Amino acid sequence: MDTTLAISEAGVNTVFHKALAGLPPVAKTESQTWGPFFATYSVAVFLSGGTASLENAPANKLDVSGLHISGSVAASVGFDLGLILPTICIPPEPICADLPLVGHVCLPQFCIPWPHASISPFLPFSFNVDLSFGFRVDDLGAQWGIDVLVDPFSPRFDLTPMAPVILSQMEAEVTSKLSAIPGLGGLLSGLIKTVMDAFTPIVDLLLDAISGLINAVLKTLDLLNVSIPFNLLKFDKLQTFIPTNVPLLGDAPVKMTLTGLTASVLDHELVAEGQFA
Amino acid sequence: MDTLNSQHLTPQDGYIHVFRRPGEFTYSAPVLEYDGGFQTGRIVVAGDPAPEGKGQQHDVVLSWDIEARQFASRDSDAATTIRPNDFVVFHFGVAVHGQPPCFILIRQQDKIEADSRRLKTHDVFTHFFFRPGEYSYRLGKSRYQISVADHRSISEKESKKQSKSPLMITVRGNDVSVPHGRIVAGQSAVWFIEQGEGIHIDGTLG
Repeated sequence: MDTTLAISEAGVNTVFHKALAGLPPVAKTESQTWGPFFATYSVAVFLSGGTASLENAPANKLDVSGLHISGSVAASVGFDLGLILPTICIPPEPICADLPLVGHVCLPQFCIPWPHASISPFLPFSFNVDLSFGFRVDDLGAQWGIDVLVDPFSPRFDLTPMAPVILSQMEAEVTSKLSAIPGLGGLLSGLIKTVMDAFTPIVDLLLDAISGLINAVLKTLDLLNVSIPFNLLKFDKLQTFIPTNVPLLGDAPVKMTLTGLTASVLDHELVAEGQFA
Repeated sequence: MDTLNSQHLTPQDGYIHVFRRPGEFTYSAPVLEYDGGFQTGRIVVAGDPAPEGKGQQHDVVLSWDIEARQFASRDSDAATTIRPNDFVVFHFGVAVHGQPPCFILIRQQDKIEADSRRLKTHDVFTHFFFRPGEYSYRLGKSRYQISVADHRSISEKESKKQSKSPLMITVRGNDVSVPHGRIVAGQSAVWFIEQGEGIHIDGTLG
């Protein structure tokens, strides 16, 4: 006995969005050091939206356009200012005074112990991707699964808007730390510039590292992993059929086994065909 | 707030001792009482005395040796020859993480010539005020105060001008010439012991 089940594009959208909603949140954390700069950054991503459409055989594809990937980066970037700035002793010029019975005393200068500077920017991001999936049927033991496997894709996203946020937070932090030090006077702006000149190229490296981590996080999602099938639908192999003329005596429910299943796209509907024995 | 305590010298502090008599002295910068045995450097006082109050300044700069876990002076300060009535300013180079406070002990053979924990007549203690706040300190049984304003609360010009004039405090026994000093962060205070023995400036909270 054969059976056929068809799901419309609208139905596939519903199934797809339900599957998306069931995806657990994913996050990853990494650390990197670039010279004196130390950064820890965590990325969390969420998938939502997208419009599913079906490509008829022989393509047999599920296309999803505008899948929304949103997330955030919680970063912490820090460094010892002493690893960038030169030794400076204050006051810049010796202060001297005449002490009776001692002499003309020039007071010791104090060499500044440069403080640690750190920022913890929270950097949201979002972008859309268009994806294409192939259908496949997998034997899941007691069930048949209609799974999708994503075609290779390269997510394109631009994190450059994060750069001015990071730079302005760091400049504010460095300015705050250095302006709290007395006696720097006219040196202050030059010192801030020295630090920011050292830090600015690091921002590109940091954004590259964050991009890499976002890609790594996306790969941990089965839906977006080119080698891990993602289940859309499941059918129990053992199905129970109830005679239409129940409750006549002697016609008990019949159990039949779904021995095979195929999935294809016909007239923009996902068609599953099975054989019972 | 800074640590203000003449018994525990930090990189913000200086200790000045005038050598009145000729002789050969050794100095050390112990961290603990029983560390005092080793010698950091040598000072020879010889020659014609300078007029009292007209002595020359000699600097001994101390740095914390992380590996040896003790203070060391610059090579150039290891042996210094001065004249009677010259004075030595003991202070610190760039502080390193984990650097403890210390005190200065000057010996002539087995005799203690000077101990920065017990300031005596004509000794000088200096402190560079790095952080603003209300500083209260004990000197003997008396309690005194120094108000340190944030340098950002006044103009840069005014701050620079003030930092060029240290707060001079003359100590006579337990009395000081300025019971309540008002300075700005970046300015130093100088305690000159005009007369006294076993004196220490002991910062207290509140």
